[in-house]
Amino acid sequence: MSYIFNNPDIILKLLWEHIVLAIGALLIATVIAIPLGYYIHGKQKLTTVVLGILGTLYTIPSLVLMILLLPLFGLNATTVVVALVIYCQIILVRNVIAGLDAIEPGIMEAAQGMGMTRAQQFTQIQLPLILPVLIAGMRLSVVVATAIATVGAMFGAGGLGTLLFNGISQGRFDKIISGSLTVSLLAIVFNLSLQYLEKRLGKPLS
Amino acid sequence: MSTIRFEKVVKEFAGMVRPALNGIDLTVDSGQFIVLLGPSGCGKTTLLKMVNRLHEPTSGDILIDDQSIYNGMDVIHLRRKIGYVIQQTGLFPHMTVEENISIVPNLMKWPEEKTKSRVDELLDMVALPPNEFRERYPAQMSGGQQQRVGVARALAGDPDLILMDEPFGAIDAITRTDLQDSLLKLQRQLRKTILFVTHDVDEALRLADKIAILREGQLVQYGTPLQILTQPNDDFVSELVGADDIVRQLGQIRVETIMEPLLDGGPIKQTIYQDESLRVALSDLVKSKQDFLTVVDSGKQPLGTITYDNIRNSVG
Ligand SMILES: Nc1ncnc2c1ncn2[C@@H]1O[C@H](COP(=O)(O)OP(=O)(O)O)[C@@H](O)[C@H]1O
Ligand SMILES: [Mg+2]
Repeated sequence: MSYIFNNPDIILKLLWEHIVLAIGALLIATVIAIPLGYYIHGKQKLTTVVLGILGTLYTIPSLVLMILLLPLFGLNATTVVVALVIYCQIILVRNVIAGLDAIEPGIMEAAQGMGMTRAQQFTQIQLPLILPVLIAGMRLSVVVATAIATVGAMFGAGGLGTLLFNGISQGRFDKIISGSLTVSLLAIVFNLSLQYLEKRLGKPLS
Repeated sequence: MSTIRFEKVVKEFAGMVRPALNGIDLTVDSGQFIVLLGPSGCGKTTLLKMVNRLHEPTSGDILIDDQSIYNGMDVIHLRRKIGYVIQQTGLFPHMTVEENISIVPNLMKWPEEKTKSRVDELLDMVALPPNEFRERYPAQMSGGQQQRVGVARALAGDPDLILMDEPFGAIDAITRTDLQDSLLKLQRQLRKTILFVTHDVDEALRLADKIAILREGQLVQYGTPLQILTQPNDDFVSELVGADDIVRQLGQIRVETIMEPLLDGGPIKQTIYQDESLRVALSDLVKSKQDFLTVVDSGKQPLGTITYDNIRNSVG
């Protein structure tokens, strides 16, 4: 604990790096998952195949996945972010599809029948309606990303993992504890704030 | 103005043994309330959804005001000019009543002020006080209120043509009668062309100017409620509408459909509202010991008269 108070500048710098990794990956993953989920939604076979692939990728241990990505992206934050994006995909795509499936068919029929274009149906009806489910997925994703980003320190991405690995190699328990504590706190804060957002957005629907 | 003409409309769905619709010819005059009636699966919804092109026919044509809706007409434009109400209401749960009703005006880029006053006007029309309901979400209303909003939303862009697919099907009997009354009143004011789907015979008899009866994808009879009841084309129609049940018929036929129009002033004795049924008229005649009743509209203006003979001659 005292390490945190004695070295606020180091902690803050690593914390910031960690936040950028996790949130950056989350945003990129979301921007990919929404169109991907929208596209494969309603196409039974394609959905099975895509979710199968994403599910398999999710089971690869993080260290292994990052090592596999190393030759493609080099020893830097990009490798780590790409790995995080891959892990988030299964969670996000699955939620996008679940959200779209949960929309009552009559709602989409009305939207179409009233003369909304596909794009208008998506932006005005589908996206707002799947938002609570999507945010639930983002919440889980950012927690997973926060945890896995810790490994990123080994690949030159910085972040709070740096404290852990330094602590282990130097035998400094105070660093290990400070690092783990801060990572956990960060995950909790992410979780709570997105939970709040999720609740607020879901309100008029019930 | 909006006339609709179905010409030899055929619709086959992949994997079905018989066509869902098999050569429908039907002409709907402007300003008429047409009910499509028939048992479940006979093709009512399919026929309706072809008018706003949610389905495309396998062959045949549909013309609105003598213009084919398949020939060079923009489908998005077409849909915005046709009101659409469905059973599950299809209200958007994340939007308030006001936002729901404003959808088509916004799609048509009406100025904000015009849309706002239109919303209030429509809420008044469907008997939902604007100040109370404007800001509500669909989940904060009863089924009947939701469907009133559904009707208001369909009217928002002031379409000449309105399609309604079992709009009151999921609503309890008492509220349903209420909604039917409101719809009749509204239609008397607006004179839209309405295509209304139901499998409820009583609802069809009460609402329709003309009923189109479908069976297994074919049109078996097209006529006024009275014609359908008194001159059914075949046993299927006769059984469907219960043509031999006279008491029931009396309960479903509106007074105004058989009254004799008022020629001159004449004496006014007992009055009856134009939407009341013949059964009520008969009972009023008996109770009042008069030989005729004066039929009036909602403003108590006399429209015509009705006698025992009118009633006896109207039913089988
Ligand atoms: N999208 C569809 N795909 C395949 N068959 C359909 C489809 N829509 C309707 N049908 C079939 O067409 C027939 C008529 O259906 P529908 O028009 O919904 O009947 P109704 O509204 O009179 O109950 C039914 O046999 C139904 O199963
Ligand atoms: Mg139907």
